[in-house]
Amino acid sequence: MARFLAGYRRALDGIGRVEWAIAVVTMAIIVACIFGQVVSRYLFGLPLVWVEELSTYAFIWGSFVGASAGLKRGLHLRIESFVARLTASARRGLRVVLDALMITFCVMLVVNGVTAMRVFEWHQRTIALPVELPRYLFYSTPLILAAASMVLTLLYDVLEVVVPERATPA
Amino acid sequence: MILSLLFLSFLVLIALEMPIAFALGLASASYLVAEGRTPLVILVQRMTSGLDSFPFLALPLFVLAGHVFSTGGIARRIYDFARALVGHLRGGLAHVNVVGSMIFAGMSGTAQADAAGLGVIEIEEMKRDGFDPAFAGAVTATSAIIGPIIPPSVIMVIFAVMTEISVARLFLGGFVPGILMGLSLMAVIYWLVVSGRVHAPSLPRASYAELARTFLAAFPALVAPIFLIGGMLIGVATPTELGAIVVVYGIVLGFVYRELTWRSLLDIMGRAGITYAVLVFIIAVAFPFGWLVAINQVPATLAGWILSITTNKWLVLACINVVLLIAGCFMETTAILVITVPVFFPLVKALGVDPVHFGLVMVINLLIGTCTPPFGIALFITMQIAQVSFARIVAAVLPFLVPMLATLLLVTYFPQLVLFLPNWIQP
Repeated sequence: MARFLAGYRRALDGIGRVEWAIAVVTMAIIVACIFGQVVSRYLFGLPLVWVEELSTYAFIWGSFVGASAGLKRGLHLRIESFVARLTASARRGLRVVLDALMITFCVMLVVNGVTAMRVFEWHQRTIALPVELPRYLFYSTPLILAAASMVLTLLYDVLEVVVPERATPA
Repeated sequence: MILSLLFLSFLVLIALEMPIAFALGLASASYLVAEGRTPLVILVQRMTSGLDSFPFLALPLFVLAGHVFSTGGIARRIYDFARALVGHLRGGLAHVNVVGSMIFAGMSGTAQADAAGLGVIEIEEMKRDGFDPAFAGAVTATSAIIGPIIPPSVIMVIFAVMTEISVARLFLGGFVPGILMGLSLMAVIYWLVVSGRVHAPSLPRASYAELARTFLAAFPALVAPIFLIGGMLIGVATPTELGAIVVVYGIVLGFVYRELTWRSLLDIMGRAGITYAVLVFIIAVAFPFGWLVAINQVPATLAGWILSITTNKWLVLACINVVLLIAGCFMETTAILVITVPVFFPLVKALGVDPVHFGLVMVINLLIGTCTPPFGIALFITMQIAQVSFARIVAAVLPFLVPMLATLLLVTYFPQLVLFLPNWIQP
């Protein structure tokens, strides 16, 4: 089990690095697109219509994937109440319960994201991009991937609490 | 009946310290399941289509601008200039702290960027100069909230997108209130020092040569707010475009000053990317929540209640201020904004309150909430930098609540303070 957890940890770290890279790339696209648009309009008198759409899609990708990366780093805002005053075992129990609820929510996002993709977005296309692409690539796809990654992150957190630590050297 | 499930489950989950975004999402999902008529897929659709909004792009840009400009060198130069400018006043570095934040506010869009970037320098210098660390932390936290009042401002972008009003008008409206907030903080610092409540070493007055030298050193950084504000005044570009210009300018400046390397730039972009994403995730999940609140006539019902008590818009604004201040003590700014705007905005609009004026009232009110216990994000950041306990920083921040609330009152009851500038530029 300890070996399984270590492997799981490495896999999560790998996913985290990919998410970090996506956060950097989408940010770069947003800056380049909008700055490029201003330059193109003022220097060459050429407004670029598709740039707005591309940067908005980068924003949606960056938002969902970045939110997943934020979950791995424990950056999602929460309000501190009385939990610090509970006993250690009660805290562990609460952590598992909250994780389970959040996993339920993320699984719901994945399932309904697939529905949204297949039923509603299948025939929608991008509007102004030079290449016409299916809309779901920028709507439900990032949400599904991010929610799935969040499930993996939260499952690891549950395992960390539940699996007794035996790795301590004798 | 089922509607109470929406609010109750949300409140229980955040009380158990679940992250706000997930609590909002689970509350909406459990409501839909209990109601049983609307398919859950609507939740996903509201989340994705809600983000498909071009003005939102100002969020990553202004978060990134804050990160780029708080890299060592630029913040340092602004600090040195502020020190030469006001360091000799009674209160010394405490005034420098406020003035530095007011200047930095012209390029940064979040209080967090201000508190964590410039704040580190400000608190270190004040401690070295013999100030009480708790006082240094309190001044930094309260001056940091000027950041999102003086444009650019991330929270104003969110408000503007939600209410479909002009980001530029809202930005311009923040100018006078932000300066007012800074001056009133300085007045309280002066009073605390003169009355002997706070020990503050004075600095010698900087020579004109020193002032000119620090001004020239800070000048390239000072150009950024001039770009931004000038650009909005003339109306050559949208706030989003100006955000991109400021980011690119900041990056170039960072390389010229040799404060940035390609490696650190990538790191900054990743951190800024995750910072805004965590914020936007709350907003995304709040779209279905707000939609559920709206289709259940909650805003209309609440408006009916309030209007049955009074139709005086000044009294209504007073009630809203009290509700928001209480909420601000317990909740995170973005979460309050996305939940309460759909409720309050239609009401005040019907009463004839100018949307830009109301935006500033809400923004200032919610920012005060970042400096109030038990939940005050600005206090959490600065208490860590100053390394003092929460109780001590709360005690030190109390006197500053007076000027902050006074500014809020002035802005609430003298709309011209807000509206003068945007009406003058874009009548």
